[in-house]
Amino acid sequence: MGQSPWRLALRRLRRDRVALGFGALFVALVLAALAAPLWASAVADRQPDRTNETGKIEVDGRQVDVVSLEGVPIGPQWRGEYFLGADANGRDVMVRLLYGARNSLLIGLAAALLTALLATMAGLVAGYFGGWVDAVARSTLDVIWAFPVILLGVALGTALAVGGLQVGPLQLEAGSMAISILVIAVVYVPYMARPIRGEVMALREREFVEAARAQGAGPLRTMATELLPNLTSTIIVFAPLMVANAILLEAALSFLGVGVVPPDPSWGNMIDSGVEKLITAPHLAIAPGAMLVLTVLALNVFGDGVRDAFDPRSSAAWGTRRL
Amino acid sequence: MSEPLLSVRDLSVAFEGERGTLRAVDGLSLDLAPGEVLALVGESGSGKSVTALSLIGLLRAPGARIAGSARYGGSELIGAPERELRRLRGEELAMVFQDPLSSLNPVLRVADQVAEQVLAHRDVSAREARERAVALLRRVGIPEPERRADAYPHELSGGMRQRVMIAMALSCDPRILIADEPTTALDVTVQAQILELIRALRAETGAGVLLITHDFGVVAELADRVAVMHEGRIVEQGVVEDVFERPESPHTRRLLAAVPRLDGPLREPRTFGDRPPVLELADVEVSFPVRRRLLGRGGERRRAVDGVTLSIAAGETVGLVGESGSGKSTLARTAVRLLEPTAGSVSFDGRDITRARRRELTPLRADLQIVFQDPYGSLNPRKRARDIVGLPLRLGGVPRSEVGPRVERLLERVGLKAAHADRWPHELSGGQRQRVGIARALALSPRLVVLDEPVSALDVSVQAQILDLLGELQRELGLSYLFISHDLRVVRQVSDRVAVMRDGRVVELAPVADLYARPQHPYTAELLAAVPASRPVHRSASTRS
Amino acid sequence: MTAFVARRLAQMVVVLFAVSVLTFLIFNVIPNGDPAARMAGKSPTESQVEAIRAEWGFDEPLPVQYVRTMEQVLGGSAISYFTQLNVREEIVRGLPRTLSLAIGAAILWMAFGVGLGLLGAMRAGRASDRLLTLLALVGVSLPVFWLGALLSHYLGFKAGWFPNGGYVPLTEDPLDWAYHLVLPCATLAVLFIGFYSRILRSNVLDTMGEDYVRTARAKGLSEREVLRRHVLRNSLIPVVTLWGLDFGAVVAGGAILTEVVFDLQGVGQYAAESVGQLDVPPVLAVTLFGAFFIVVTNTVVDIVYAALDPRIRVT
Repeated sequence: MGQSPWRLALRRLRRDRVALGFGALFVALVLAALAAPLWASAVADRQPDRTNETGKIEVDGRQVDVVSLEGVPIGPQWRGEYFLGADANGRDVMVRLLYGARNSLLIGLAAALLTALLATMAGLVAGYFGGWVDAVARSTLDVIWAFPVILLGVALGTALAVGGLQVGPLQLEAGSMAISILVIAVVYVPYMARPIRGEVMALREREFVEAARAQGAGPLRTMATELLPNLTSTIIVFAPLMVANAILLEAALSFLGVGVVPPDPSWGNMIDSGVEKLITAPHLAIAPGAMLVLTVLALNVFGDGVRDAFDPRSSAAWGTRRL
Repeated sequence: MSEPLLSVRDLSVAFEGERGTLRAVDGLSLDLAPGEVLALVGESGSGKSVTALSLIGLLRAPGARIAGSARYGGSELIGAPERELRRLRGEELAMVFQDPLSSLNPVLRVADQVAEQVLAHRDVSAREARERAVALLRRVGIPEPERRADAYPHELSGGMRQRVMIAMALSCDPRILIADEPTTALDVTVQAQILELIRALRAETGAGVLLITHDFGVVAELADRVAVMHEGRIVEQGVVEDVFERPESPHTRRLLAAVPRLDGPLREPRTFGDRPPVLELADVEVSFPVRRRLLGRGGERRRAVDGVTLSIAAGETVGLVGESGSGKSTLARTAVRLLEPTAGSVSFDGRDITRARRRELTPLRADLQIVFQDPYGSLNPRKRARDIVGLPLRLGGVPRSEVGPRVERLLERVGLKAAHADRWPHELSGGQRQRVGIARALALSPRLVVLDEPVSALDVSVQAQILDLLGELQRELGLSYLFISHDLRVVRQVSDRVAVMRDGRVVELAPVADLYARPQHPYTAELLAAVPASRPVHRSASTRS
Repeated sequence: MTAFVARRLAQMVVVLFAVSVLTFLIFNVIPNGDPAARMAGKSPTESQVEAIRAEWGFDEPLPVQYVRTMEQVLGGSAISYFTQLNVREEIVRGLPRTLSLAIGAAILWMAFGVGLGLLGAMRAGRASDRLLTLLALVGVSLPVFWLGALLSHYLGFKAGWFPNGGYVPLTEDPLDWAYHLVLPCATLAVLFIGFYSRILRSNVLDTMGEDYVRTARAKGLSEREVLRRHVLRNSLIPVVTLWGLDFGAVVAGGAILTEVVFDLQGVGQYAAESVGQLDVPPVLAVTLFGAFFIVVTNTVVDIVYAALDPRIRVT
């Protein structure tokens, strides 16, 4: 039995301890997000939306206000309840962080998946057919590319957040997460579609593609069985970085108030409200920010390892613009 | 023999890899005398290039270990400090590499690239260095050197680029010139010019030349002595006439026997006059747009194929020779209708398929097949041999359950084992890959196969095996071939008739015996004259002692 | 060359037209987006809304509204629905702020990105290279709005080393201008430094494997010369083009978050504030300005690329 090109790449990846460690960290973060209800009910005994502006808890044997009379919330307790302290409304920051992780990760992963799907289709079709199909695809990408990324995100986010979106039978509620996913996915399509299109154009000139055509394979079969398998390493290399970008853009949009709508938590809107209280309660901005950095860093280090293992000569994925 | 310039003793190069140690060079010893051309000849992977690079300290692969000794003018090269080697490189030991395009910096003007070597070794001003560079360009036969000096490498032809490389190597009057496959990337007529240039320069400068090549023709043209390498060792070393006339090692004998020659046996003359042609090309013209206009169509077009008429009878092999850019590959793709001709007609089996659409061509695909040049590029790296050979079967409607056994039978037919079906392309050797490519073309029992440089990327011994296989298949299956190659020796060996192509036109088409014996067109004669000799050329001005 | 510029200009007009139509549509086809209702304030009467609608022309067909709005935007007479301020004047006021930020950051990230990338490539595989890689990855993982807020709070407000946000015009006090820009520029530059150093490192390592670098060594050039004339020069070409593209993107809105966090009141912040209010004229103007800037820098970059790499011809 032969050694597939995949297995060789995976073997290289398996030897990269640092990349694997950070990959595992990302998986752990996802698991923690999934376990949010467990922490909320079993450890902290607080739900993410439950406010507690007038409550008291016991600290070192004394009863202390969760939110002081001056409006200063309590800091990290490093135990079950209020593990990372409270916010201005007396809500448990740790619980909200975990629930926020669910939103941030879901939006990031779904958006990256959608981007990859759209970009691969656009790149394949444009690169394979060339001619006017390519011209149309390219100018569409150019228009998206010419929109300033955040401005486009904010504009779409604001517009859709007010009105919702109706596409045929599909009705997106205003403030739905699907809107954020859609906005983020569309914004990043050109960054991934362009290199894929370039690669398809190079592959199309290779003799094995001509050989398939000489056997009578049609465009669909050629794209699916000859081109796509040769694009997978590019797609795999892009994937972790696209997820990282999507999570960052989601946080930025929520920070600007057009992503996840409070009281629903996301890291971005938690940082937004935390920044205003940096003086009295720095943990409100530091905790979600640190989570965000950790998640994105885990994806980036893992992605760097994946790049080394699958496609060492490509730096195309670094061309995706960041926030 | 005079005192050797370079004396290599027991040189070994090993690469430490994941799967243990690979000994690329194993106990190699040789001497190079002043004014002598020593050819180091061998097939790919025999260790000849590694030898050259390790001599001048340019072998930079991780995990490479070099042992042994190489003495040059009283100093030891192996293990010498980098500073000492740097002084010698370019000044006393100069190198010419195989691919002049990738070996020249694409963003620097050629004169600057020559001049920087002068500046590195001589105490001269930038202006003097440039003047010397222009003089060198003139000396290596570049016309209008003042103008060409400011050109970038991509603006020059392949032959001109290799002349620039040679000018660079000569810039500090080196005592040893190491030429690593200096003509492999060049057309045959250009190769003849470059070999002539090296010959003249050797006589003029008295430098010792270490010539690395896979081509016995180049050896016969240029070398005084030859060392044959095989698996990291020198299996035979001697004066060139002796090695050619009385080879001692079995490996040398095998290699020499496999080299196609212009004086080898021809095919039995056969006539096909009464049989109807399988493929007929009439006044075929294929052109591509060169530049697009701002709006709309039009603009310049370049004619790659310019009015070619050609027919192939059942069971016949028509050879098609030409240099790069002559349009032969475009013609091959048009013959199997991967491209649509701009004008003229293509008929298969009496049926006009000039404008046939993909669906109309599908039933014909079984009969009309193509094998490509590059055995690396023509197999999808992400598919197993089984799926590569199985594709035409599945497209041809063969039931799923029969595909597997038929693939295995096909692989056995082309000299592979059934077990090769589960290999990925990167696990096959060059020859094995080309066999997979042939099996794919044979899958649906074609009547005509277009062979586009089918053996050009292969070592001579593998080349001979593939040519044998193709001949055998033709006899057994009654195939017709359109055999395309740049190598006149190979074409002569396999063809019934031969067409010579230049600038998109067929300038001469004749039965093989007539074309080689009495070329009618001057270009054919020029090509034939440029083919390297198959025996050592006698040189009166030889400096051999 | 003339044909190239002409074709690019034509393309530019088409792209900008599409961008403007899209932006206009985004804000006009959505339900509940009726600007008249929002301009009329809380619980307005139907007649008040009608009056505003008629006054601003919101009752006309969309194409008519589009053409009128575009005339105003391009003619410089457009005014905000809400602040009633002239849009062009606002953009002209914000532009020096945005440009100061973008230019400062671009210089920082190019200098540090190239320096650190080269250092990493020279030490490839060693511990220092791995540390640089990790630092670069941390850099690209830091969200600019969070980093900016923390830096401004701890180094500005708490330690008092830097001003607490704001902008001072260059013409007023060059020193104070620079002093106010240090933190914003550094914040914006961090992530670019991270990924420029990664790109340069991998470009340098790729170039080192090229045949012409081997030729350069075979000529007997010193390692320094090989690096300077052959490796660095060739590896920098794609980075320089990327630099142009990124600079364009930063001016065109990439600096929004930095401007907001440091309260620089640049074009980006203006856009962010207008967009939140669904204020069509400023959003349209800023988006068009941004798109224009991106398209222009892309064209310039293509020309520069062709000048740097003689193999490329502008077509």
